Amino acid sequence: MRNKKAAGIMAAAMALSMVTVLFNCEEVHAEGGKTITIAAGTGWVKDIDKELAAKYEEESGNKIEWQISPDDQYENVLGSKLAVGEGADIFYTRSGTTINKYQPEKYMMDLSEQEWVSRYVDWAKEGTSYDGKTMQFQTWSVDGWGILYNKAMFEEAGITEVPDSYESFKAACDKILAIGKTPIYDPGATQWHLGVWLGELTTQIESDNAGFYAGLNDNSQVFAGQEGLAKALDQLAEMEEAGYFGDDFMSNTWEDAVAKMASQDYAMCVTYTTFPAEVEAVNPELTQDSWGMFPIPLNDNKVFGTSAGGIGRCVNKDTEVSDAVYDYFEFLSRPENLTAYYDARLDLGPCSFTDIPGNVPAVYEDVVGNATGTGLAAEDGILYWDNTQVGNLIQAMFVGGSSAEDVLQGIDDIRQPSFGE
Amino acid sequence: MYKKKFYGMRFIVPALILYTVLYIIPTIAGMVISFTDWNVTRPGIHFVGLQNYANIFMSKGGPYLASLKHTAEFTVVTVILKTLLGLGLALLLNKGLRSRNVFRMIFFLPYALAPLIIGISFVSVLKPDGPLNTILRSVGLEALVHSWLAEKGTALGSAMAVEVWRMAGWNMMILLAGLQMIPDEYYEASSIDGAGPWKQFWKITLPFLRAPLTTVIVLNTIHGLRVFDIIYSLTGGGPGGLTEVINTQVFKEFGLGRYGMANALNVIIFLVTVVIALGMQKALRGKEDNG
Amino acid sequence: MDKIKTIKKLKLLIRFLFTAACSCLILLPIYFIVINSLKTVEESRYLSFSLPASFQWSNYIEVIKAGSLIRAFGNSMLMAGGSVIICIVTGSMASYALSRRKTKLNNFLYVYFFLGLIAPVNYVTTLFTLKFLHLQNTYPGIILEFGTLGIPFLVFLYYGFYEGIPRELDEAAVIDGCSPFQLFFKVIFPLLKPATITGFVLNFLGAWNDFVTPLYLLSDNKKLGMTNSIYNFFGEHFNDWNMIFADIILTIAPILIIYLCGQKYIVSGTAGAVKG
Repeated sequence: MRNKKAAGIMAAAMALSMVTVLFNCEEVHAEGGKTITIAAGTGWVKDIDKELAAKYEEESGNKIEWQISPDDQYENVLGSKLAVGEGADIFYTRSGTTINKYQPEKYMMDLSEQEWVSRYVDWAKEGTSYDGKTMQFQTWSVDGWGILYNKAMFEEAGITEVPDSYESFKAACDKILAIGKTPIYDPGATQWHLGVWLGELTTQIESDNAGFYAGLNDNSQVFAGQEGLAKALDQLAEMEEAGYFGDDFMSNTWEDAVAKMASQDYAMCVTYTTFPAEVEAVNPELTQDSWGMFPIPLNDNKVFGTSAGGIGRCVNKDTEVSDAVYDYFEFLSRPENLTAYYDARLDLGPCSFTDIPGNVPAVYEDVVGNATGTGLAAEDGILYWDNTQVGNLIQAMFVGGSSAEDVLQGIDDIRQPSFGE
Repeated sequence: MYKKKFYGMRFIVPALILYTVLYIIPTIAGMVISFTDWNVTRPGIHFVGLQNYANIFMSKGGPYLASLKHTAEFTVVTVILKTLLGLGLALLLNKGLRSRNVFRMIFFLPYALAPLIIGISFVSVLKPDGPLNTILRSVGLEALVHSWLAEKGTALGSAMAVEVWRMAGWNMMILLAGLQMIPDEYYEASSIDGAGPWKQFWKITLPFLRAPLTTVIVLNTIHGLRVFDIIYSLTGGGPGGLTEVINTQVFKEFGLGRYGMANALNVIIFLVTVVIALGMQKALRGKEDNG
Repeated sequence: MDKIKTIKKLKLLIRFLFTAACSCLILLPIYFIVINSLKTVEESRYLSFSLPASFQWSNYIEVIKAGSLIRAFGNSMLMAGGSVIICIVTGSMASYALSRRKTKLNNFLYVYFFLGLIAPVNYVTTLFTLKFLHLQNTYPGIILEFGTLGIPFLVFLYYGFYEGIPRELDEAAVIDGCSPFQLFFKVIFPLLKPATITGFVLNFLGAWNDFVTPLYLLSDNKKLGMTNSIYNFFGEHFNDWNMIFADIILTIAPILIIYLCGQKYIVSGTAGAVKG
């Protein structure tokens, strides 16, 4: 008897849910206009994107359909959907060399003729270009990763000069230890973040001998034997041994970084320049002025490596609704919508369009002032560089006892098959 | 004569069509891809013969051999622990206890949860300042406190433990089913003959459990060799590749767009699994036929 | 006599206590999830066992809204429910013919189905096949795919059960003038309730818990089920452990109910499977 009842309830629930779902489908078809599908990773689409999309739907009568995948699955899903010819009308990818990873000739629409291209700032235009053509509509920011430090804590520890060499960096860490704080919060469990360390330092090699990236990208150059990078990795291992990252270093995750820096138990962290705004949201005592930033000084580096502008939207070459997509981009590129977007995105810095300034954070000026120059970091400058994979190799150096040279050789081993025979 | 009419192909055909079209054809197509250099980052697909396979076995100390090794370790340890714990629980909950149904439900519960969800939850349970270490500290076992998923000595072991946690109850269920098919008279008769519980276990219980034990061992082996979700959601193969198994490696190759290599790894794990599963079945079942 | 009884009782008590202690290993993590799902964000950050200062039931309402969980629930029900019906009907029929009539071809087909328990699923080629059939990114496509993935296990599960049903029953029904389909659906199939319920519950769980397949075969976020929505939710709210745990509870609650309804049959259901 009880089972019959349960089965009845189950069947009713199932029938009900099926009707609900089918009804919802009906709803979509009832409206006119075209449907634009957009594929992205979870972390790339915020509330403001959905708000602007809703506003656009209202204005145009077109429909936006989101295809959002978890960040760690996104590249896999995107690659296979493109391969099968099932790509979304708009798909997000990183700007810079990452564009090369998705066969731009075959899968991406040339957007050079669009009106908004003329309003791009230089770095945005450069970062979204492939072979002289504009491939992405980008509303992000050029930014880079440097060592963010808590000014008050540096003062308390008696560090008067911003470290500009490995020796002075180490001395600063020792002074922080002496006042009973942990010098650096580093998320050792988050592989990509370890990759960022090394990815910043390749910038220096490129600026010292131009052509290093070009050689890597046409596969005439390798990482193995790069003494500067090997030295930086050895120094990284030395810092870990000296306890500068704290006890639970390898369990730390990037997701906790904001909270940890807000707690003021740590003096430094490798972050991007808009990070202080996120800390301020958690702990209002720490304002933008509480922080300074300098380039990662391993191997005595003084160059600040930046992105090619962040994340951009590509248009699928096979899309059947290109007019609607262009229309949507035109809508997003209007100054009032750009303003709304950048006002909501405190994690973004300068705007990619000349119309509005965006948010230029104080530490951005600071780190550029502390650097002797800037250049593209590995992620956006070196083809087939993958921060997660590089971070995995660096983790092996910490827990598996491999050497700096093993890490560099490992990077070559990962990149090599992607070039083919 | 009626056999052909009453048990004809029309019963088989619907399943056969679905299974062939939506499972076997894509799988075979995948195997064919393993002989090519298909890479989403490059145009064109070329036949490269056994090149991908050669790369897997030739790269000394490379990631592939290490992940094969981890997969083997993971499989051996989890098969033993799952089977033994499952058997222990089944014996405990077979008869006697009035609350046995509630307990059975509790132990089987983890199997109903998505491995992904178990992974996300255990990441927090196993954090250095998480509940497991809190408990260890509060009972004075300070020495056992670890950064479970971040240390060389404990990362793979922790993943194994979570997998055993998830599957022990499932083993229990199948073995319980086997225990309930043993007629009580056997035990009664041997009691009269003066056999103790230990002797009864060896002489009656174990021989009767041969078929269900075979089933769980074979299925545990298949699960072990194909492990992905639990490792992926706990450690992602890290730290430093210490928990990398074949299927997390497949996932990575896939992410790099190297479909040829990803499929070659898939084929290897498939062949190894088939050989081991069929071999085990033959070894474990064969004896039964003779006896 | 009394002494023996006391010893027996004592032994039973020890066994009970031991089992209860073991079950704590299962229940503690689950208690941990439940208790943390009812805390504020700040409290949940400490990941402790302590009770919340006040129970935040509103977490659940917020999660339902933020994760569009009602729609996701409907999707999951549709996909898991639909696919289970497909694989039970086709799987039980195929297994029936394979088990009753053991020709060389049928024995080969049994192994052919068995390989499906081991073969890797290739999402790229599967997506390609579905696209060829114009079923990509549709409910029927994913339901058929989930149903297909369940077939090997059901063929395997039912196979042993049919052995236990005497053939005389078939013969009697044939003499009474049953058609082949009447014989199967009216006489044989109703006898297999334990196998059917076991297959139903296990495949329902499988489809409900699978997050990779929908990731590739369904593009539209509005069609995703509960397990995928929690994955996306985890990506967006990675620090709000209270919300994540509330989402977890909501995702597993429906399958626990289904499991509890079918629990009685699972032991006898698996019994049939191991005979084969």
